[in-house]
Amino acid sequence: MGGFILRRSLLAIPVVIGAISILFVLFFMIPGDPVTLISGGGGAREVNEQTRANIEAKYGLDDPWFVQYKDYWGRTLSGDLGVSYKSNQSVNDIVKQTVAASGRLAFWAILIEVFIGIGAGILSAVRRYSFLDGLTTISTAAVSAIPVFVLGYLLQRVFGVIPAKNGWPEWATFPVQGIGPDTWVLGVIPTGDQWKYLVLPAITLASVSTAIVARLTRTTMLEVTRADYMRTALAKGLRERSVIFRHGLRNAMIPVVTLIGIDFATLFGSAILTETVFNWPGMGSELASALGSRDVPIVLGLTLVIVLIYVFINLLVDLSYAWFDPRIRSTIAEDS
Amino acid sequence: MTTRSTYLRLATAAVVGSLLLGACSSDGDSASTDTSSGSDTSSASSAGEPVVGGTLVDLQNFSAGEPAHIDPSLASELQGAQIGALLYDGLTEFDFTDSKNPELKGAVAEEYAANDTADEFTFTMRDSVNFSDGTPVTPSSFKAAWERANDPEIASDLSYLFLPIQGATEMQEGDVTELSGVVADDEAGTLVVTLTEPFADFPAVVSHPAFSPMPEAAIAAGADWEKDVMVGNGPFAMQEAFAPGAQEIVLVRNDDYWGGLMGHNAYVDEIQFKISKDIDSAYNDFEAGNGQTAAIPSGQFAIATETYPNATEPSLGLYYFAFNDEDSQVGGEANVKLRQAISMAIDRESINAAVYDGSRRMPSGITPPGVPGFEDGLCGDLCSYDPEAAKALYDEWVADGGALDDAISVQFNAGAGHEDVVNIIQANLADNLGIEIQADGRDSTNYFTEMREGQCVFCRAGWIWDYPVYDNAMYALTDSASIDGDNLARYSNPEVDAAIQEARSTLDDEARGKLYADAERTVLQNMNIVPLNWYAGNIVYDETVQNYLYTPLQFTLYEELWLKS
Repeated sequence: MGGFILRRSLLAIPVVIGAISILFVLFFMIPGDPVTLISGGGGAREVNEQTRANIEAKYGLDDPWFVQYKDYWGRTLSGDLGVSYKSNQSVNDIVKQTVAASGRLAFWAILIEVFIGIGAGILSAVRRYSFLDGLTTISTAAVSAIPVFVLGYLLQRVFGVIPAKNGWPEWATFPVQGIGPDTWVLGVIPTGDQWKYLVLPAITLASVSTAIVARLTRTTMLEVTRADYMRTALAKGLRERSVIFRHGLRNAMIPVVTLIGIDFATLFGSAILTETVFNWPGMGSELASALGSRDVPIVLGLTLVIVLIYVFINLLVDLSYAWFDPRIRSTIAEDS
Repeated sequence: MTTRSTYLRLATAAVVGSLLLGACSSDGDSASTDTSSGSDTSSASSAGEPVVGGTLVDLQNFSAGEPAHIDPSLASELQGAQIGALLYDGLTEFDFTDSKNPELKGAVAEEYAANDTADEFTFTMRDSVNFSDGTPVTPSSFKAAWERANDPEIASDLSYLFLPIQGATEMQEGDVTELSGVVADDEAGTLVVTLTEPFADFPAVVSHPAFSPMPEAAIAAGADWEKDVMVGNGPFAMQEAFAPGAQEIVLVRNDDYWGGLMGHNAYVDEIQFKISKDIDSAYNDFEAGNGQTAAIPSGQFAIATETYPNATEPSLGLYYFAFNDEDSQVGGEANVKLRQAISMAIDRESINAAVYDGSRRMPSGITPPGVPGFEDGLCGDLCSYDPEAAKALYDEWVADGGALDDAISVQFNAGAGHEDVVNIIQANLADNLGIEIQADGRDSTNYFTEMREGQCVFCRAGWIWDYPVYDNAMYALTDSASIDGDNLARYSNPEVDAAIQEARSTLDDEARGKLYADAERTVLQNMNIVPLNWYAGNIVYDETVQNYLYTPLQFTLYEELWLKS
């Protein structure tokens, strides 16, 4: 098992190098002048010649691209992700500030996805063609069709603006945007007023994924419940709940867990929109504004972090297969 | 069984669908919102005596993102410059009480005077103006601050504003470390500024926040000053440093303020500038009652201005298209009638209604009201929509031998909403003149660089005045020295150049204004600059806010407003 983990971890290295290199190349190919950005221009003003020369010297922008590439990796491997072109702030600091916020939002979104998505899927499968199944099917189709930012805007109006205008009670009113006081227990559980700020963004972020997870779980559960061993277990007299959860669910989970792992990356993509709409100070909104202003160090730094997180999550997903399916566990044991 | 399930599913769909639709439409009725005075501006209708106290939560200034800079020497964007304007007072300031006729007055400088040739200005300091930490504001505070802004290490985007001062060019190139044209005499309390050329409007130039004085700590900190608590001499002060990534910037009333132009301290205790990332979310937050001011998102102008008190006065900004005078197809003297015909064939009102929700103002020339020297109607009939006259002019041009072999190429920066404007222009010209145009959308980051190089044929541009001075736009857009710079039309007329030079040496305000206005009339006759609309304010606030004053420079005078108790 240890060997398996080590080998999968080493695979992460070419993934990271590849992703960052592609981005680096793209930034050189896209037209756009970082000097104009750094000098605060980017509009109708001409950049002074001397200013341009100073900036290029300071940031090494007049070096050929392979020198800049080499310098970048040298700095990164020593832990320094560079400095923002726009605000002169250290990218390390930006990452520290935003990772925590993004992580908390993603954590709760995944919880919603897992519990409500899988739960709804199981209910749907078990009570097939019932009213509940119909309701789940239609609402998941509807919710996954609504773009994330439209849903976010709708939730803001329904739970933020309309309560204020019509005098709804306090418990039905949610903040429209922002992050509340910085009070967390165990790093992820909000206390005090903070939880109200978390609800709408977490629901918005989780919405599309929850719908897809519910549909997929329903499908895989339906397949699994028709298997012979399930019929045998029921015939042997085991209770239905025990059969579903202990025998059926574990087999049904592999495709679902794969989806959740891949979905983690999508979560970060959707997070850009959700974080912008709800003004949640996470990596997504930081990435969006850095992209818009061609702030290369921030984009590369945040992407590096996201790639690392993604690789780690997928490693966990691969390991979870072993936990779900004993057949895979023994295959891994043979290989390592 | 199946039939029943089908009906159940259809019913479920209907219920879910109507819930979603209901959420959309119910915000149209604002049951308990105060529908106060419609699109009237606030300034005259302020009720009662000023009330001191309270906290203003502002969602308007930073409605679409974090500022790049809040240091007035570095902040070239309006949102950041607004903070600088509240924290610092400069030598002079414009009094916008009569917004159509702003008056330049001495602020920290009690008086100022020019010499006969308008190339040397003496500013005499007021006594006892201090920074909020108690240290005095002296002429050296100004000189040191200006040298800091010109430091090539700091590379301020606003350094071009200092170029008229002797020594500024050399300092920005790194040859010297001092502004030779600025002499500060702290004992006598005077600041004498020598310029490289006559420029009668110079006292107006120093009203720009870039010319703010700075305490010694700022000089030592250099570009990092905005990472600390910035100490200033304005009506408000910072309590905590601004950390990038913060959700708000908080300013508190400066109780040691010298009183300003109006002779009083600010009224509110505190302003919390909330930083939003998305203008629609910020507006939702305002409507939910979490803030007292907001910027109006696109598409909501009509509803917002009907529901809330608003600040939508004209501002000093121009949206225009430029014809490249050097282009063989549309430029030069031979094609004057073509350009005039095109200008008269464009339906500016319908562009305003369709693209800007009616929020912009119709132009009567290049320069909007609010700039001293403004004259109404400089464009004459050429800026109004008259398809028949346009066709007549076009036919005259054809009769004189003009012919368009190809479609006219129209440049604009893509992704910023200009596509809609170009589409309407395309329809107007095809319908009214039978002319074809070809849309040529360019990438935003390089757009202005390319246009300056001469790639403009018929290109979209905008100009926001740095200060209400006629010269600001005239020099930048129409002087031949600005070709390869902001003169995208590459317009070169020795008469206009001479008029601008003469105006710069003219000390009498009225005479100066007249010279610029006549020059503008000449430029407009040639129709290389086609004004489309003037910008206007775009702000709403709730009924607790009194005396909300929005200047034509797009700053809000937060020190003048108070909150109803």
